[in-house]
Amino acid sequence: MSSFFEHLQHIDRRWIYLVLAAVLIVSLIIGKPETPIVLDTVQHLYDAVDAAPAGPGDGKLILLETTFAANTLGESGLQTRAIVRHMMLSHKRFAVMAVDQQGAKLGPAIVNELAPYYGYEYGKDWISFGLQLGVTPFYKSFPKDIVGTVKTDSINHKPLGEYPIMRGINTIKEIPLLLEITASASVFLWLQLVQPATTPRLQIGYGCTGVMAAEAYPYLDSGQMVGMAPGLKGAADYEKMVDALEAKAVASKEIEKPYDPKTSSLSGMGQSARQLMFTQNNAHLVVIVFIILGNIGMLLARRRTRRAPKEDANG
Amino acid sequence: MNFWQQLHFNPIQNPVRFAIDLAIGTALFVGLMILFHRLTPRGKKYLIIACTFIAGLFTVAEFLLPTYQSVPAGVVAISVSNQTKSPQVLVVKGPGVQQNSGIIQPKKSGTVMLQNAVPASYTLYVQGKETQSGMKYTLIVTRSSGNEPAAEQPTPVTVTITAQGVRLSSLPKIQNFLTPFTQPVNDFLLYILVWTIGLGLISLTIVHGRRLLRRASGWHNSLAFFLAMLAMLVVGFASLEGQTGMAAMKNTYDALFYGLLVNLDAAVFALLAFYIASAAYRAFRVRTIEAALLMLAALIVMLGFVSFGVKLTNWIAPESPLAFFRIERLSSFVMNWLNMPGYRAVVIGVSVGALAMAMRIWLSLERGAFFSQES
Repeated sequence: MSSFFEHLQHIDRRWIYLVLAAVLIVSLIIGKPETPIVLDTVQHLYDAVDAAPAGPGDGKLILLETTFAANTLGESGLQTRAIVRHMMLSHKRFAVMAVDQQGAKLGPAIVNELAPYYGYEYGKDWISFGLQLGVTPFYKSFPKDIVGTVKTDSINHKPLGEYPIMRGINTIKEIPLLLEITASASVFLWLQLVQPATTPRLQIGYGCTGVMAAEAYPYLDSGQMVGMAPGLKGAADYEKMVDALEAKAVASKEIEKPYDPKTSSLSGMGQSARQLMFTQNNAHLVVIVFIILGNIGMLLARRRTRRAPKEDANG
Repeated sequence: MNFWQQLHFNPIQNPVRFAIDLAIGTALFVGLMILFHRLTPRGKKYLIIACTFIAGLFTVAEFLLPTYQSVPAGVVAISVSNQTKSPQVLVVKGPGVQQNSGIIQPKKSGTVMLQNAVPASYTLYVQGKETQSGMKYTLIVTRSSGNEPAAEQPTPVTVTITAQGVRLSSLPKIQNFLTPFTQPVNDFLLYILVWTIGLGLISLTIVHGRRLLRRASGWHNSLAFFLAMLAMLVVGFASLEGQTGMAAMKNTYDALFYGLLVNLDAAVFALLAFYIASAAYRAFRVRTIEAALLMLAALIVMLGFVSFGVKLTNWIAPESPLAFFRIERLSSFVMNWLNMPGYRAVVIGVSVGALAMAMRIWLSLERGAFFSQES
């Protein structure tokens, strides 16, 4: 019996890997979409995008920063897709940029996949600023002179001034909302270097990986961030609201059909965030079960060792 | 931007001039590098101290110096509102503008146009009451990149003349004399970054080249490195616009980037899920009260972020007095009431420490790797 408790405490890691892999594969195949309860922080982010005056006649645009690499496409990529779909459905004009080499390609690639669905035209409805150097002088010069700092777009390599979307866009005052989708600490440079120097204060929305969420709460509390989509949960919550908005657009025949994530050619983005949430749920369940098993084994083994000396003493 | 800035920081359109400048720049760079290498350790140390101090001083001075207003180049319309009881004469002087002036009647508004304003400093003279006679105000017209088309519509600058003096309004106070240099400094950092990438490539080539030539342990990894590097370099350069067979090379580049790099990167990171599961199983043991508290907090947050966790307490109505015990609300409580103050305290402490560290680095009081080696 004691060997059983010992065994519960020291399960071979290969069994853990095998069980987790089996659960992940089966869950991915089933791919049942979840209907999550939306977090307050995600609702606030959605509302901020909705309220941003970046429509065709507003003379402003939303800045979407996609500073992540392929390793967090499952979280950051899905957040980006949900937010871009929302912006396209609500006819917001936006620019995409990144301070990460992979993000500078992945961000526009996600937008490019969505643009035909929602009739978005490059240079008129959205533009790509490409890769920017995420160092202090960039954050000092960009707010004062966007065209002079970025110079050319990253798709056609033409001067920004040649694009209709950039008419009247000179300074950070024409950016009503910055959406920072990141797997790094890049948002803190905006918070430290740009936001304090802007009047009215630059609104910052945050999309981060799950493990980074804890760091953002002080900034949400102080109002320096208007909302946050944490990890895959944030992407799924946001997607739930966008799906509802899209259903209305389809019903009113504004768009032909809802977006189908299966058409995505990007790694890890062939399923919706809500489908992948189902997989993540099951993976978490496996982790919790193993933790409980380990603790049961430890507690029972401890009780047994406490009893053993008494039994020995009694004879 | 003055002549000196124009000369050094504007894009050069003429290819011959560009080639000459490039050659001069390269020669200067190589010369400087040779010179620096010949310096004694003490000389190198003082050079590093001076460069670090100047770089830090630029950032600090640009941040702390008072700012003044600026407008984009092109046609500038200066709207003047005279709130005094006497006529006011407004005179504008600057590059390309002989003397633009206008008389603004008491309690009236008027406009003075500045045609073809170039990025430069202009001076406004306001004359009227004796106390304000000859009072000067500097108006900076800026546009960082030289190839910008002039604005079609006049950019308004509003000047309000009051008994107390002149006030420029409707424009943000955004710059001082150092601000126009922030973008060139940004470009300069970009060049340094590119150089460091080059240095990194050289260093990797030396290390892996040696290993490959000696057939040392793991030489096949070095071979994979060379193949991958060369493939991305060749295909990357060949897919640039204007190259022969650009379309085919662009497809190859996309196949390498999206088909290989992205998937490999994602796959390597995905392995973490297995390690985390194994590590959580081994680490989360309720051995002490502290460990129990840690596990409880982790469990609540984790369950609050997944749907099945939320379903566990779905039976508690959101309006019920027990609603606090719904798992998503408990999770929110842990994050907002327990995590946030603790993290905020840590951030404040770290920031104060970072400030002290920044001062030490700026003043070269911190013993870096170079100084440690040399001393």
